[in-house]
Amino acid sequence: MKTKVKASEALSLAKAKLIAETVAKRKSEVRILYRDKGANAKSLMGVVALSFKKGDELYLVAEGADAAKAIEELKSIL
Amino acid sequence: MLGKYNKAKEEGKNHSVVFAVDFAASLGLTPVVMEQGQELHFSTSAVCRPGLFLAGYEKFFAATRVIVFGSAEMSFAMSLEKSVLVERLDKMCSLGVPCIVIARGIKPTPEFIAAAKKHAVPLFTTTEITGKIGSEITDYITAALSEEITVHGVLVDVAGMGVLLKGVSGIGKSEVALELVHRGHRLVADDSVIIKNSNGILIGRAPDMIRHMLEIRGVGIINVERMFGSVAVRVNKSVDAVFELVTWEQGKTYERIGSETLTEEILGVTLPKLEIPVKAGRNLFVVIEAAVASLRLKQMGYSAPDELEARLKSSN
Repeated sequence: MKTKVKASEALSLAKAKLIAETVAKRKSEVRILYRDKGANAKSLMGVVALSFKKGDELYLVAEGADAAKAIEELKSIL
Repeated sequence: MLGKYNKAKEEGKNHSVVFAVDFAASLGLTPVVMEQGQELHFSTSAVCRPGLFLAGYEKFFAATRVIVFGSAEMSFAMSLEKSVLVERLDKMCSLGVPCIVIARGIKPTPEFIAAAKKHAVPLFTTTEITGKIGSEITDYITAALSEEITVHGVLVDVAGMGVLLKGVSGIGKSEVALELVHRGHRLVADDSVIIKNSNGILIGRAPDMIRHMLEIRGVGIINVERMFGSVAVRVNKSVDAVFELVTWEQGKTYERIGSETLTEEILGVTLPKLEIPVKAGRNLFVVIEAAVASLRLKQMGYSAPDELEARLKSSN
């Protein structure tokens, strides 16, 4: 499944950590797409590399049994 | 290792769009005619010296190429009658050329500016000599046309071979990279690797933001260049092989002989691939170094399984 979200704030290291840790609890494969870049949401460095700013549009793509849950959690922290 | 060109290029669909202002800035060109926010559409990296076109021979004119005027073309253009020059420049610009560049610091005459403005074709000048700016434009467009993807993995230069380590999050890719760096190999990218197909050769690099940083569980983020010095890292490297780290499963069969080769296709290039099972107490960097040496011997025409087979035969 795929959802579009707007970043509520610019990416910080703490935020990247929160994203990676939150998604790592889920079994699904989750990717965050931003502009021409994409990252595995479970990977801290991958998320950091996205370096998005406040208000930027991100796409969340999840595949797996708990995909909906993973996207919902991710949406609430972005 | 040479692979085949990416499919888009073969089918001639490859196309790249850059902002005219970025194109000018990267190549040190001075814009004479350029609209705000104007885009340049490139589909070929070759440039065209328009001598024949100016002389009135329009057959085979490559309207998809950047047009470069050197002193020969400019002096020929000036020798033409004004009405003829106006007509030919107008025709040239109407054919959809991406842009026109005049080299050697030669100033465009009003006829050039009028034709460029009429058809909204960006016109640039440069003090560079014609041959040099031509090849710089070609390099620039070649880079812009190459396809790029980001893959989840770690790229390490192991004894000169660019090895892309893949595997699920948490399997220990970064830890293996650290071991390899410790053994004198070089880190290119951790976690996110940007791969580009450059004329059939894959080139990998790290996103600028996280270049040469490594996340090691239990330790945190480390800067490999700071910690191990500049010899422990490199900015880019060809991607020559894919090693997939997989969890060791009891009962699953892994490669025992090494005579079969898996492959993986990235951006249309086929790379040899190995599946390496991860098990506690197995020194992975040693396995990876051995795998690299074995792949290289194979590429040089030597195969240990074949030799073993031959020995078995001769003993019978």
